[in-house]
Amino acid sequence: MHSADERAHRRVAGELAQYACSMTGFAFQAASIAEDLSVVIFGERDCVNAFPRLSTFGGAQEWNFYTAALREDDVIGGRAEERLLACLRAVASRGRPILVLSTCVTEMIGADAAPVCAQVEAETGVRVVPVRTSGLNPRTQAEVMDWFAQVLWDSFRMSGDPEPDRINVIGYQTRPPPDPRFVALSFRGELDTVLQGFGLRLNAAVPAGARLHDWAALPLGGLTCVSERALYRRLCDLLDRSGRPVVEVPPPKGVAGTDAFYETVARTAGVSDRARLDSIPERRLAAEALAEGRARFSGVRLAYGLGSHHNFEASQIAFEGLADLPLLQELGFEVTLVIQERDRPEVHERIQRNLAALGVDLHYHLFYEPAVLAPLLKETGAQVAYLSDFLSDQADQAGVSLVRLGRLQSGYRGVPDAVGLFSRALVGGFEARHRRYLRT
Amino acid sequence: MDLSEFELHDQDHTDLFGIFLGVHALPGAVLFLHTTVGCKFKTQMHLVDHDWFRESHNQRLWTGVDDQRLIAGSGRRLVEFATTWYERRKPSLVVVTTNAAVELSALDVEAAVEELRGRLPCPVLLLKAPGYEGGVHRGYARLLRAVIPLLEWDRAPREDRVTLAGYLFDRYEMDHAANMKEIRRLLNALGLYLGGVLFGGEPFETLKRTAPEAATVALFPLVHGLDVPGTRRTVAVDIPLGLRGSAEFLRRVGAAAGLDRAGIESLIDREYERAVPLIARAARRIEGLRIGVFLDSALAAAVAAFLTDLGAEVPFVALLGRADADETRFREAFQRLAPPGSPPPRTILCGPSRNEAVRRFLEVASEAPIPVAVGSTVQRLVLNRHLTFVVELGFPATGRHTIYPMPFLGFNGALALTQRILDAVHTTF
Repeated sequence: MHSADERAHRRVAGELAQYACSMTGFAFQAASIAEDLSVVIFGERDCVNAFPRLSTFGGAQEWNFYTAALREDDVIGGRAEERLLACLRAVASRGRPILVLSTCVTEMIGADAAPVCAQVEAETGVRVVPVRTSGLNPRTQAEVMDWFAQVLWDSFRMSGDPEPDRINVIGYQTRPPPDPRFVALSFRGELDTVLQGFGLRLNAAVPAGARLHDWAALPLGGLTCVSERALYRRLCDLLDRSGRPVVEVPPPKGVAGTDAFYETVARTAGVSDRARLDSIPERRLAAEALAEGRARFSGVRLAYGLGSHHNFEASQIAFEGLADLPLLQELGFEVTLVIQERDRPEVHERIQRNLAALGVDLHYHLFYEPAVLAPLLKETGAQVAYLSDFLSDQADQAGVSLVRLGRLQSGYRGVPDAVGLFSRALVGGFEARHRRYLRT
Repeated sequence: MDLSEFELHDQDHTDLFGIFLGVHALPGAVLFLHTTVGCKFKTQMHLVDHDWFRESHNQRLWTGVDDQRLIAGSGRRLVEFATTWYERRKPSLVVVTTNAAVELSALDVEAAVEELRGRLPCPVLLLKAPGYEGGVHRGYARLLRAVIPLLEWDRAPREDRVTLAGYLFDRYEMDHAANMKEIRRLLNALGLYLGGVLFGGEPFETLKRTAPEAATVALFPLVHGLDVPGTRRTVAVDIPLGLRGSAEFLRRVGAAAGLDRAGIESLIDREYERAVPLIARAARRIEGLRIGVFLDSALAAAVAAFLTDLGAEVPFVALLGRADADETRFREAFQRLAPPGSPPPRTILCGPSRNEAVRRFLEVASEAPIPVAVGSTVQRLVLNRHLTFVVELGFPATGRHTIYPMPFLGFNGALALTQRILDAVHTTF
């Protein structure tokens, strides 16, 4: 791959994924920190359906998302701000900081949330942050993620000097498992352990698994590692400008990728100790699994799906969704890209520019909508597919086993996990054994 | 102003999702979302974990409206997009929806839809769906009412056929398949046959013929008062759930079809003879149990009445759906379906926010435990932590999927629902 600077000049992050409504994007991301904030959607009631609730804050005792629930009369009669004022006064009673997200309809009528937010903040002392989001101008998911990070930096960052041994990580698979007893089995646990071995400690991990505190604490980190600088261009600039060093370290995927990740972090932090990595038991297990995987997967044709996902997951948006490619290639797969896009000259230009900037030299095929992927999978001769989960019916129709995009894990533990996943997929489970009985 | 005015509800859907759900229940139809980009996620994202059997992505197409197209006029875009996609997909019905942002600016959409009607060889419906108002049921019913005139009502109605209208078909899993089988079984036992189901997963092309062939149209609560063309007899029914609910359904449909009362009662008696001894085994364990209900008004009435029939106490009912909740209709239906003289539930919330429903439920449960509730995934996610086990019956039911036919309607549905409540009592799911 090219250097971070070179890539940054040649592409815009997120160009090969689904474009998005920025209100939706803010809400997707705010849902993960909804225990710490109140979020008000400044629009019609239906706008609160544009992001998931059950899989994010669904089980919380109290849902902290609110709607200004604008009525037609509010919109037509110019009373949207009045309605927002009543809403914010009620929501402020909960005492949490409030994020106010504009929507298409409020942007269309020019309803200005900022003075109302300032008024309620002055009245109540509760921090109220307006953001002029909407779906009128679809944006890349990366752009929305970076904007979200900037808003949190501007609104909630802590003051204090960075401490050299405290490390920030941005854009990695750092979500802890739901059951805290299993943290040690996750990349988050591995990262903690390895950093401690180097005499370092994790200061903040965002966005995956972050609470508002993690975002606020970013200024206290002595070194910030970001999976792809282009993904968080504005946030990185803010850190840079405040004298806090940022280094791009590609995600730890595969044995070589994980070695490189930890070595880069350690070297940049000034504590390089390669021998320590070799002593990690998980690394030995990963190397053994890698050998087993190569023997099993070398030459196996794999279709790698891009362009379908819409989830604001940094680890899946980074490198245009190709962050897992090094692991798959290390395992010996023969990878072909299948990209959800229309077959137009400007689309090919965009894809080729991005792949060239990422140093990826792979064949690609286009499918213009989910419904027509199955024949393409057959045409590519794929034996296994790595695709967004909602495309599983297409993989079924093509008779191709599927591993869900985003399922591959980071770190040394991710290697045996991947070998197990693909082994099961290729051997085929129940469906593969009974395919002749399944309707396609 | 009260905070609950601004809190989220279990579902905050307006008409858009109801229209989408109706299209999902009508194979062959496609929905063009002539909206801004975020509206894509107001549709299939909410269904995908509920319906494991059929993907909805391929029936929903976003026309790509953005600020530039709004300024320049988006009608041309709609015409070109829909024409292209018609050629690719050849749908039998096209439904176009718009959102408030498009409504505020795109004055040419109606003209574009008119143009499409001239261009495409299939019906084209325009159902505007600004996000201010409406609900899932209203949106579903709007689509249903718009589809009615497209059916072939000039076909001769057959006296022994019954069409169902207003059946809320939200997934292609075996619960709905089993419901249809059960209703078909009961109608056949009366010498009647099921015609079409609006909607029941039947392709639009088939439904056009099957629905009008019935001389009797049973209107579920969703479409009570629906006008049906021609000389068909319509009959308003409650949801045929539980023993009494199923019996009442047969009485009303049978009477509308002109059947002899004695024959209907004889069938009901035979069904009771089969089901009651089995249910009685469970009722001994359920009697006196406190069970909460979180459902839409019509389903809540049927479920609360059945639970009351089983001997359970129903101390709390939340009638869900901000726009669809109707306490009067709940009370009336409960009176019809519960054993005579049964008192209605003590606490009835009409259209509460999700937080309010949880707060009030926990208050009632603090007086005496409520170990079981009938509701949706929304309740399961929070109430299981409070040792209330939720039987998922409403929408969404992401933790309840049916690969084995288990109805919740009819007499077999009463047995299956009793089984599920019994399993919840013993937490042996």
